[in-house]
Amino acid sequence: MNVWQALGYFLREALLSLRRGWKVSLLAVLTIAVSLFVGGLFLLVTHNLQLATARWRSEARIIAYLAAGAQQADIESLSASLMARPEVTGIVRVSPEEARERLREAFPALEDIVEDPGATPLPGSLEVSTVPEADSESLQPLVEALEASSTVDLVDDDRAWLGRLDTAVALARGAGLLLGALLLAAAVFTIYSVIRLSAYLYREEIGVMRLVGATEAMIRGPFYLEGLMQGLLGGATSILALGALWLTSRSVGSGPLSAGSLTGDLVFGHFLPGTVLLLLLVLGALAGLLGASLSLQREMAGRPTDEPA
Amino acid sequence: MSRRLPELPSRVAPETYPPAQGRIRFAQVTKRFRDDTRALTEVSLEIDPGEFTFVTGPSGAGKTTLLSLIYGAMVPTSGTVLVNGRNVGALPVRKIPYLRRTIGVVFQDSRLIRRKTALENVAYLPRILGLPTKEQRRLAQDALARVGLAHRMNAFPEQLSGGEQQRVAIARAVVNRPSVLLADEPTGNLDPDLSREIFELFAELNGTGTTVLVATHDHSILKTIGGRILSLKEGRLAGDERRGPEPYASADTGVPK
Repeated sequence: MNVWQALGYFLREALLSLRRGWKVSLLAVLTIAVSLFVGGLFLLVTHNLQLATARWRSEARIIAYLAAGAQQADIESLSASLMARPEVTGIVRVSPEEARERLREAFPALEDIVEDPGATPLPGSLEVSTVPEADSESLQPLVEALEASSTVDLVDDDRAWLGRLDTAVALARGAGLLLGALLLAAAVFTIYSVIRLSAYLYREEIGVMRLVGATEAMIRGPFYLEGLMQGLLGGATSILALGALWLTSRSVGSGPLSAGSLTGDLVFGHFLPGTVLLLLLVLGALAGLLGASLSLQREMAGRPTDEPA
Repeated sequence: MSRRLPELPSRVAPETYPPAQGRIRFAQVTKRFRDDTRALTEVSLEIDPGEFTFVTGPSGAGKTTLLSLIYGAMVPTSGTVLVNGRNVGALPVRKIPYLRRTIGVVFQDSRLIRRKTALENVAYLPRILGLPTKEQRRLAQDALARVGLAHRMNAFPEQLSGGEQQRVAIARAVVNRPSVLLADEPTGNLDPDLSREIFELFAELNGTGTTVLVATHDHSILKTIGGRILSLKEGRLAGDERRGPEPYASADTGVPK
């Protein structure tokens, strides 16, 4: 029997077994699908959060709020010294009038307060753009220099909260992967049980196969393929479910997760990349193979003989 | 005797051993189990190609062990078992399946695969040999016809009577035209008429040159069928005699006896 004939034989036997025991096979497929769906959902959300944080990081600035009564000459001197730093790429000066205009545009409901002549005037500021690769730590000397300047009243670094968001995203991703891994382990156990049950039910059959001259590969092959197919089906099902959820969220007209809404774009703006989808399929296949392998190790250990103990 | 055994296919799978002569030889074979029970003690015998041999003896005499040593289900503790010149005990595990493809085995319980039809059960060996599907089917149909069950080929084992199941098992054992056919109490569960029928089948196979070795304690069969009789007692060879004419060596087979 050549390789293609053997594969054909494995495929026919595995399909027969899947069809014969479709209920238990369905259980195994769904268990894998649920595990991978949960893991995939966390990956989808964290993937989008990471995209968002990367976008925000590229737009992140250090804002130095100028002290009341800061002199024009001091401000220009400060700007010049900042521009001399290699990590600084640009400075935009925002006057108190511009600040008020921005506030009015961003929060129209607050117009009354903004226009109140008795309200405290908004401070002017310097918006300092930095090189994209700079992080909160490498910009610390710049922040300290600004804080030390008598021209500056308060310094706000976007990267500080972006760093905290990164940590939160990493934690969420870790928790999701852990949960997915636990569920995947449960799926492996389910496949192990399903195939072991098959191997147990067909122990006599395996004995007959050995009797008439089937090699171990001939006997094991269909079981491995059955596990692999269950795993792949589980992986594919999880991808379809993730895709359906994503498409549904994008097609909903309104709501917190709809396309165009802040939270909707934040968590469901983009679908998972192809490599991650492939990873889900591979994980499903590995879970199926592992389950089959573990079950056969127990049922088919030892020499193919009927020798009594 | 008009029915004929199926012919070998024109294309023989490479992993089968070449057609062998069916010679069996035991040299000082002892088999001891792990609990130190002795199943066979220093048994020496030689069975010529084409011989029809009975192995008799009471339960526990070592009949099943003797047969198991021939098809590699057990390994002798000492001594040598040669089948077609091959030392079975020294065969690596991975080679045992190839040995078994040259030996047909029939048990008291038919040991059919329950989820497969009679045809699929018989076609299993041609299938794992990688023969073309048509060839698998033709061989299996011929073998079933040979045992008179062509009309039951699509039945599952549970739909067959005990005698029919045993005949399917025989068809499976001979589908690859083995050089040796082993039968371990093959008629233990059958009534006398069916038993006689089964032995007639064995005899027909023997008539085409297959070495047949039947373990039985059914003395009524021994009285009606001639052949070589090996008697085992407490694991030792206690007798080796020929009774009556060679049972089914007929002139039309052309097989020298």
